[in-house]
Amino acid sequence: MYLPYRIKSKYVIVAALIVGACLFSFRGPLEAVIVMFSRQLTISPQAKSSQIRKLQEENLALKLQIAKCTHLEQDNKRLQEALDLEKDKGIELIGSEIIAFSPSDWHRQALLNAGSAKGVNEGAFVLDQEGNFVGKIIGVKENFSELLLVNDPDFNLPVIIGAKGVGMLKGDFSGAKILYIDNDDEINVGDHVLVNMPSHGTTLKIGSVKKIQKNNNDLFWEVDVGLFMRTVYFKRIFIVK
Amino acid sequence: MKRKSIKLSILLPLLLFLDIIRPLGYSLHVEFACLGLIFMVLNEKLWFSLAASFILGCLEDGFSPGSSHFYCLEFPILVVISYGLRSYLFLAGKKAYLFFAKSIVVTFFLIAHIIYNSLLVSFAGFSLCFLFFIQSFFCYFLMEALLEKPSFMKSSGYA
Repeated sequence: MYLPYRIKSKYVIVAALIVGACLFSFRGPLEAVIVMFSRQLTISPQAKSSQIRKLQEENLALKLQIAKCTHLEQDNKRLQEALDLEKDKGIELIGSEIIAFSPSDWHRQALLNAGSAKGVNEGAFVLDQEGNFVGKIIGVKENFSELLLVNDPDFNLPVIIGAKGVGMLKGDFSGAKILYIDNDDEINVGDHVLVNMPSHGTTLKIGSVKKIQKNNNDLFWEVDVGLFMRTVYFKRIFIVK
Repeated sequence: MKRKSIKLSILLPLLLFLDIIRPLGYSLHVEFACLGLIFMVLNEKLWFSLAASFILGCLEDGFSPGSSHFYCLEFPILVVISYGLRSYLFLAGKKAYLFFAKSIVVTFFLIAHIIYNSLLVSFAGFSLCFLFFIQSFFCYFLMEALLEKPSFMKSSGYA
């Protein structure tokens, strides 16, 4: 429908007036609705910052909880492995933790928080959570004991190499060496080095043969051993009872 | 001077504590207590360094079960010789010369410590000795840089 401009504007004004009158009559409820929405939509800066702080606290608490759960999971796994070792080899273990290391760099010794009160004996072997040989107990007090690590130069222990060889293991900071190996012994690189535990009827893994060499004038072979135990970051270690 | 001595007295047990807990396992071949003693030799009076070295040596012996290292004798002897060396070298007095003088004292202390320990355990692993020297040498100068106040603070009278 074609209407001149003035007539059209009149219609618009009349329509606007009618809508305005309708809205005016519902002003109260409309205002209430608008106020309610505006409260929900707009947040004052103070409220905003407190909300952010609250969320940050919640976030931190959740992160801590996740870290705790991860730690518990790892601990559970380690204990499970130790339990498997106990079942498989039938050896009784005493769980312990390292409380201090020797401050000298020329010694690989540590103090453990288990002593004679828990049944620890001098000379007892110590294993890590994977069942690898770590060292032996050289001193026992009531509530703590002294551990000599396998890579300490004072460490000596008769060991079995591969299928036939027998020698004396000696620590040398970076790993260990096996002394007094005859020419007749059949030893190859990669052979496992084991320690015998006759009282338990089993053997424990120490490492594997890394290098074999002999000088012309030497009577015995010199065998370098790569240890299975990781660098000393033990969380928990086990003493064989 | 007094405040510095108190600070160092607190610092030394902390360094010994670091040696005992070994946060980086045996991958870092550094004896922090030993570095603290070198710092003391280069910055403190002889009697104070001597007393501290004896106490620290006794504590180290106490924490080394089953080993006879006699640190309570080794440390005071090394401190006396190093102090003599320091006094002789510092007499030259030139500032540019100071760093070299310090380096010589640090090198002497570390090498003497390496030789003493290697003889005691009858084992002189080249890699261990080399790593110990290099890592300790750099750790010492890092520690010194952290412990001494920056030059702008000294010049502005904050020191």
